[in-house]
Amino acid sequence: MERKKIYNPNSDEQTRDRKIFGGNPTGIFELNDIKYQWAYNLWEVMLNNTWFPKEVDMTRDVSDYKQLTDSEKTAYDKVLAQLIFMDSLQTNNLIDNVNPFITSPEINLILVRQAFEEALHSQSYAVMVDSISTNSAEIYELWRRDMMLKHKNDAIAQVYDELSDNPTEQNIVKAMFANQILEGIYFYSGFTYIYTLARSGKMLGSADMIRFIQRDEVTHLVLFQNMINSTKKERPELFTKELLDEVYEMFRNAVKLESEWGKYITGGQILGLTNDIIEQYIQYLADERLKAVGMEKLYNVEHPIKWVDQFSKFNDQKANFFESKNTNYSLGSLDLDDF
Amino acid sequence: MGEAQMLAESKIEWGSSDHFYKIDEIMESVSYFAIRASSDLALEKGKYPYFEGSEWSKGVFPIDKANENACKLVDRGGLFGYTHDWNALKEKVKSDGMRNGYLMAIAPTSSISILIGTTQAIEPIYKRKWFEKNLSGMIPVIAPNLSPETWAFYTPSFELDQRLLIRAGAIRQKWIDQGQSLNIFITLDKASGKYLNDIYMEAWKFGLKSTYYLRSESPDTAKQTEGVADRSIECLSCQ
Repeated sequence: MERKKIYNPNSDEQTRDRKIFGGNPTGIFELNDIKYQWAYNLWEVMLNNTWFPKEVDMTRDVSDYKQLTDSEKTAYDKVLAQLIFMDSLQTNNLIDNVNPFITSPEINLILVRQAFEEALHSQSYAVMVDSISTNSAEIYELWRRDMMLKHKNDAIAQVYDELSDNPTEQNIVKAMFANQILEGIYFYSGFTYIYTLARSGKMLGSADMIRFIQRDEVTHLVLFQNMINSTKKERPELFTKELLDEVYEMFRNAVKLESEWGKYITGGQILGLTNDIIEQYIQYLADERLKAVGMEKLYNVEHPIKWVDQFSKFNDQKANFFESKNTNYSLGSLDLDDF
Repeated sequence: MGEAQMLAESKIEWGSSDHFYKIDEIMESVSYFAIRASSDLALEKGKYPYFEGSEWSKGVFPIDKANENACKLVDRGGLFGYTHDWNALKEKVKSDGMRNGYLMAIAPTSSISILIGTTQAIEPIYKRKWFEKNLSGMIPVIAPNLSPETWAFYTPSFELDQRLLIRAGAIRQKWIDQGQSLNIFITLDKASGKYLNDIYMEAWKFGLKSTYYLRSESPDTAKQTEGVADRSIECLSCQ
């Protein structure tokens, strides 16, 4: 497949003929006339979600971190190091690997916004690292020394490398599923660990930061789910049994990788997160992601830690304005048409 | 503190006329006893320095300066509808004085209400179950005495017409000389310029001295995108 032209005056593609990929766009972002309505709605939500890492108060985390047990500290550092990798990768992957092949302006729009958000997350990790560590290189360089971390990073990057080396239609579809796995599975043992600490009253600033990040990741997940579902309608012939088998295999490998990682970082030393819970939770997440794109569940297990969902449900939380950062707002969403 | 709990346990719907009558009675008592206590304190410790010439000294109490629109919200029988003997209290204040120049305000009590297990000040409940997020982390909270009997009477604040919160505030305001921490709750589907304007203009018309935070929501990604099809597919039949 060819990368799309950024200016293509010879195209006479009509709005209804737009395609997720393999279309022939003019390069003009005509947003008053859109085909993928979900994409434009998602764009609005992403704008409403706007936040800035420096707004989150990390001062108490500085002293909290010193009080953590050694295992808690180690796990925190590793979680951070892994999240740093994934958001770094994703910022570049979206812009350099995925977006050049996507031929609908309304979807280009949200991919660019997503890339911006991933960059914003990189800044939040910088703020977090800065507040807990006097030697930030220790965390940023952890991937060179920690072979489990290196192994996970390598495995995640591999699918994207395949796409950039060989940009076929099949590989684009696979990359969409890979995104779903990244946004919907790989981030979660890290998030859950930070929430587990917060649940016992520790590192609350970090938990706020992660909540903001997760609020963004939810939109990213929906973005790729919708891309997959729209592609299914446009190009059903691409979803062959071979491809779907490969996708199931990707999910199985991801579950294995992420459970191993979760067990590795917690080392059985974190109150509230046993190895069994971690594994079952990751399996549960995989099933949810598969279900969202109309595929079969692989594990059929119960959600073992339902409190995590409540923890990340913003609208069920009431923040004391003097004591913590309020996460319940929607920027620029006031409707003034009736006024 | 605990207005919502009291209403739910008495099976009074938030914002109903029963609610309005009830809080009018309660606030009358609060006002009466607070003024009387301050006057007793004046006897014990002396009047506040600027008492002479003040409204108190002339027998003018908050209820005498209450907003006209607010007074129309509840009619307990005019002058004969009061529970307490205000004329006697006025005479007492004129002769004994007041210890406090300013006396009555309603505090938010969001943390302490949870500590003692009731609902926040004068507010409807945030939700039937929520997480209170403060310096100690996230604390799961359930509306006190939540049961099948009280369930329907615990209306979450976001589900109420916010103009009812303003009206309830106006009734309380008649009896007190300072403000009240009255929060406004707004869901995104209702967040419009007109509605917000109505809420705050009513607060002014009904003589509220203050409102507090405007609480809103995060956008719900699923709600915004679920079931939204591609336009090309919706229009297949008309093409």
